Amino acid sequence: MDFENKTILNNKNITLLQVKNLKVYFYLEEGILKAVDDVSFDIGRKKVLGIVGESGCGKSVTAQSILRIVPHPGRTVEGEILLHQNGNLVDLARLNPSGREIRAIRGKEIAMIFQEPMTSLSPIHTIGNQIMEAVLLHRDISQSEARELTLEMLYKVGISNPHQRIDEYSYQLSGGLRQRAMIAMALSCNPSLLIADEPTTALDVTVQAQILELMKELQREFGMSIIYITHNLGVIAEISDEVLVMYLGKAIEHANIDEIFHNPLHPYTIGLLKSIPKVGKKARTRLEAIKGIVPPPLDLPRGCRFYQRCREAKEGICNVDNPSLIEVTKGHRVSCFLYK
Amino acid sequence: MLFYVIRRLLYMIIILFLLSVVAFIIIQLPPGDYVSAYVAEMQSMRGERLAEEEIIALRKVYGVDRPMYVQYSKWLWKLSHGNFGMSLQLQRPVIDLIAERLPLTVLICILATIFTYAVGMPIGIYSAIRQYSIGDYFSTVFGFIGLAVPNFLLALILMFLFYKYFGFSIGGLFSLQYMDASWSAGKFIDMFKHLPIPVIVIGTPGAAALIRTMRGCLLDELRKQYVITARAKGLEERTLLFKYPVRVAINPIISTIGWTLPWLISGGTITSIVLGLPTTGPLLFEALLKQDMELAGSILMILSFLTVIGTFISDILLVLLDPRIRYEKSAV
Ligand SMILES: Nc1ncnc2c1ncn2[C@@H]1O[C@H](COP(=O)(O)OP(=O)(O)OP(=O)(O)O)[C@@H](O)[C@H]1O
Ligand SMILES: [Mg+2]
Repeated sequence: MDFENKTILNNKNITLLQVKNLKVYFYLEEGILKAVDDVSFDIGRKKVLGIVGESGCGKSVTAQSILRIVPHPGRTVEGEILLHQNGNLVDLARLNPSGREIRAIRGKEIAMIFQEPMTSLSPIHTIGNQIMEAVLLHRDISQSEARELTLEMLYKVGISNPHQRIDEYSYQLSGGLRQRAMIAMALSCNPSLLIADEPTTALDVTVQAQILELMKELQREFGMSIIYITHNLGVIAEISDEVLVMYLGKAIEHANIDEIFHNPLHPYTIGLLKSIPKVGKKARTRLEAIKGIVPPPLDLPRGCRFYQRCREAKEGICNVDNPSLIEVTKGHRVSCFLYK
Repeated sequence: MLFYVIRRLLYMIIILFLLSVVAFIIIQLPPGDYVSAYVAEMQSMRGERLAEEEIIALRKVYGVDRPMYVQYSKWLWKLSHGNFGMSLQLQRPVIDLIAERLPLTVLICILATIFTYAVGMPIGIYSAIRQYSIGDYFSTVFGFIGLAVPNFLLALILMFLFYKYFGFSIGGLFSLQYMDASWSAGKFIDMFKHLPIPVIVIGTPGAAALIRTMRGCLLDELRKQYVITARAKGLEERTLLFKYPVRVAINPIISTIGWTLPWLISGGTITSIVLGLPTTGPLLFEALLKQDMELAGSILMILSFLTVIGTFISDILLVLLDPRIRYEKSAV
């Protein structure tokens, strides 16, 4: 990309994706599970949005609903997912989940990598086969060109001998290499958004750091936006421009990285920050600093979802109404009755 | 890979040898031998009583007076030279008896296998991708009925239905006028008219089991992450289904194709008796009853041989299909 284009893109901080009032429910026998309940956020071009929250808060379901791959019996019941695509605006939430339009976006405009590098590649196809498949699906090029491009991608993600690796199977690769292959696959069609759902959680700490470094580099090189999902605020600090904190299907705080770390507003976010492990300790944390456990998101009581665990909870207010996400200072949104 | 094949071939020879011991022991297991069975039959059927000397002479003629291990090694020696011996009961070379029946047996088996897979796989796949749909419940019910209804009963029901609705009687493999006729186009067509019932009867339990297995395996695979990866890539659902989860799920099924062979043949015995089919099943049954050693032994050995070959083919197929196993095998 030449210099002029780059500056134009950099100066114009255009929005890439807007999620508005997204609700994704699972219709289970035991009742309706509100995995994502009225979540809104934006992500700008070339920006990295980190999504944090405890297990089960709906991070993955949010990601899945953007690609429209929420598993049965989950359904996107309300909301808009607006993708700005060279001048056009597409509402992904309106598309047929198995239709042609969303399929043209998956892997091409929006690519995704997953937590489990062990199982996210097919055990009986070579990695080259699987990467080339994505390339051939979305680009109008020949088999041999696709192979060239695949080799190039494998090289770019730091796989040392791509000519050998391209014809290997996933069980011949280590976890770190598999995740690199996944990244190569995701970036092979030059997507404008990469969704990374805990891409390093299952890896060794040293490998985690390498993969994170790689993603930062590639983001600079390819210029895509990233939604980076993790439990780990340390990782968020490394890579994100903005942070969305989720709790039980709700977005409870959304701000840029400095605000979140230096001026957290929501009691939950404050608790999360206290639970960050010190340097040298294991990077994965169970968030012990916040007492109590997350209630199951079935039959939730009225009021704020964090009420039972909140230090600042006020009876008569917090257990009566649900606070909405309001902008407290510019770009810093929080949903808590402390800030009204 | 070549090393693997050679090793497997060696195993096969050892297994066949062990099977011959087992077959021999099983045939000898009931008290008495061919002569005592013969004597008893003469007595009960015709009221004839054989003199003691006669019996001893007979035992000598048939060689059943020798010790077990001598009988066994003589048999094995002949067998390993391609000599299947004589049927004591029918007084004909075993090889002729088998040659008459084996081709039809194999034909029915192959057709039944094709039926099993042609019915079991698509229904199993459908059941898995439409889990808990009406079609799925339907196939589940079909699966359980197919497994639970004994072969001979199914044979009788089908015979009745065919007779009632298509108007021809279907016992055996040939109509009367072709029974002893030599091969002709007419006889051929006649045979194909008779084939559906035995093929359906013998193939149904396998198909029912296959539906369950296919459904289970595929459901397991459909939940796996690589399926979601493929979907997130933008692949179309049907392409995705057949390229990834179905391909992975059929591996264990293909690897058991060979095992169905003996099962089809043993399952075929009762059906064949009920339907009066000229296959090896009834012949074996009869030979075992009469303790017709060389005939029973030869049939058992041929069946064992087919089984071992079937398993061998399955294993090779699996290695060719599944890179993980190929990798393991080549590493050893
Ligand atoms: N396929 C499914 N069927 C039923 N419920 C589901 C399904 N997938 C997710 N859920 C529910 O939706 C809620 C949100 O799940 P989600 O996977 O998004 O959590 P998460 O934030 O990604 O957690 P983790 O950090 O453990 O990955 C959970 O309560 C979960 O039980
Ligand atoms: Mg998750």
